[in-house]
Amino acid sequence: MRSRTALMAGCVMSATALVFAGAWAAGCVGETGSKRFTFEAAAGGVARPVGGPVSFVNQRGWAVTLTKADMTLGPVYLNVLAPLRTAERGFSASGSRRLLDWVIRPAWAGGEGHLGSGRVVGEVLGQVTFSALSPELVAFPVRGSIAQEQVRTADVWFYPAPGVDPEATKINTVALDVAGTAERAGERIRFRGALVLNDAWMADASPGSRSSAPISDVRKVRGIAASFMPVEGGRLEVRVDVTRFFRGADFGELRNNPADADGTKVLVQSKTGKVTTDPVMNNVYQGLRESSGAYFVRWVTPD
Amino acid sequence: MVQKRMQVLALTAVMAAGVAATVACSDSSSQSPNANQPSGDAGTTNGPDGTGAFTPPADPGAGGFLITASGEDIASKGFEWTSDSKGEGDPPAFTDGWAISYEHILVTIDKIRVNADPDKDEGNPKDVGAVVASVDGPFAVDLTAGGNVPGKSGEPDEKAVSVAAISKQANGSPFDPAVRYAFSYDFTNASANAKFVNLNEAARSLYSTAVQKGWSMVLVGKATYKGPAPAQSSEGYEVFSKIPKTVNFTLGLKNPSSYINCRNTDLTAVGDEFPRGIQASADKSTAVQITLHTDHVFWNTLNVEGSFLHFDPIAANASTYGTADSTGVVSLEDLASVDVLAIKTKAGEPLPWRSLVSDFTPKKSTMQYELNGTSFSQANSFAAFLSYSAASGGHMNAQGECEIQNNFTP
Repeated sequence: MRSRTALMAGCVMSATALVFAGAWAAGCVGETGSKRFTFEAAAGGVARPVGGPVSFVNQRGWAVTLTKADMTLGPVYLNVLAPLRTAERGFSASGSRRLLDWVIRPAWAGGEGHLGSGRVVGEVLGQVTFSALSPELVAFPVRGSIAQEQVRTADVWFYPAPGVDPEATKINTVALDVAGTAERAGERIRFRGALVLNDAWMADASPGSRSSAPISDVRKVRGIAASFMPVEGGRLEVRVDVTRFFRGADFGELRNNPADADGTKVLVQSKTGKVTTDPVMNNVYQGLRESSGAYFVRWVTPD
Repeated sequence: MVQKRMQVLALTAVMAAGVAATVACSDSSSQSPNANQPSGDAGTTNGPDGTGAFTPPADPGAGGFLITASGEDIASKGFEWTSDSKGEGDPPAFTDGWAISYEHILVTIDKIRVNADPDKDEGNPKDVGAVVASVDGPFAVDLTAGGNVPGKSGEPDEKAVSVAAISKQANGSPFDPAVRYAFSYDFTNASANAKFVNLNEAARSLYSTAVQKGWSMVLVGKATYKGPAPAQSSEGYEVFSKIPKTVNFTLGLKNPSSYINCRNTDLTAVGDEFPRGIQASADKSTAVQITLHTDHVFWNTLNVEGSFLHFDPIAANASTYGTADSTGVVSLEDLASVDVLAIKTKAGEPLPWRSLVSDFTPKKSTMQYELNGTSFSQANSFAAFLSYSAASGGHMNAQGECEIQNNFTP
């Protein structure tokens, strides 16, 4: 019935391709012979008064104040692939798929990842930790490299620290460490949480393949609109609007969460235990992986 | 492991009807009864006020393309459910024991484009060469009704309907059988100017509503719970026992999208990849099928290779939630405020996962769908989730993937 032929991406950025002797390795950068050069890259929060908490009202009517939002991201890849949907309309895809997924494809609706692998022309093979509450940029510890070709999208990955197998499901790397308060209708909730992109976010094991994705997919934000032609001497900026991660969060759902001695609710990410992943943490996780609205990637050319 | 589906389309009987062409670049010829019409509805191509006139296309002949539309066999047969059903079956079954039958699946097809150079830019497959032929509708199609053209899936129950024919390029030149041309189309908002391809009276009435409400895709049907009655001792009994066993649903989706430079699974794969575009035959016309996969709307995960199907979140928000034996009704509007990251019933109770198939392991938590990088204007809206997921269902020739451009803000 409705059998299909396998499709294979040309230059799939698989996690395994990125690991060589415990270090990140380049994907398919600069295949076309274009001019190549290195560049500085940095990450930070979106523009706002430097320092201090960030306050906003989310779509659930909660007045949220973030006092801490430390983020660790990297590597970053720059792709010739166009976003399938505009930045305003939102798009992301699961990213590269396991080879098996390409070879054995279900008959009914396969190939819905939509975003192809494209071709990576630039990369920053490092990680950086910064406060997403501050617009102050923090430089990556390594320079990136790029071929001078039109970039259309960026991929931001949240991988374990260099030296750790990117396929490892049990890791300690905190992608986002947050704390703050939320108030609505006289109710005030203090909260804190640490988002780790580990197996808590993977689909439960099942005999089949539907809905399953490798852990590496959990750690990728693909298809971020980033249209520019890199110029030698320029630098790459990655900015994050952390408020997006809380847009749909209902802090009233934290009533069963564990709390510190001072009453601060602790966000939970867990498949097991008395309290499983709570809706606020789920919002943070989903928001961190949004390809539109949360990340702003641009090339800054010197005057 | 790699399989290639080679479809040999038995179009001869349909095309031999010699019906008149209605589109640009087509040959005008003799008229004949509408071969597309479902049995018992032949010839009713006009709306009651004269609107919606549609003349079925003629066989464009050798070197031409016959454009058809299909919702595959599922559009007409629906989703069955038995205790042996599998979530990963073919077709897939709902994990939570629901059988679905469709009454209507309405889409509006427009801006059918054939462009040169489908391989122009590997990084941006939406960037193709110049338009060499095009057909403007809009064409209102009921995929449940289908037509008389054998479908591309190979399933005997799949009946595609002819929408348009393209016999040659806009400049009068024939299509080069040695060349592939990019193929693209749009699903647009329902339009008062649409040509009714195969709409019966009920479908026309529904289409009028779609025009008024700005829907671009409408799925109307009945869901029937076929699983075992929830045991009082089972987890989730308090909720599952209140879900109506029969639910009539109307999902009017505002999700117009463009499907650009589709891959063609009728062509021979090059390496491990199907080529993009369509290719004419020097000997006969070539059918190009606009295909809608109707399972996408019920997925639990966006932007991935399929996912399991669930109906509980829809049924639990139907009008008669709380009285299981009363038939409920539910529309997309009823689901707008349902949070897909913490799905609740109409009464506000957390809805647990439920699996009544052997190949899906439910989490022991409230149902949470996976946005997988997609954000909506109304954060986490179930209605937006359904609209976005359904929009991913447009394909070509059954399984050929297209570059999707959502012409809406989910």
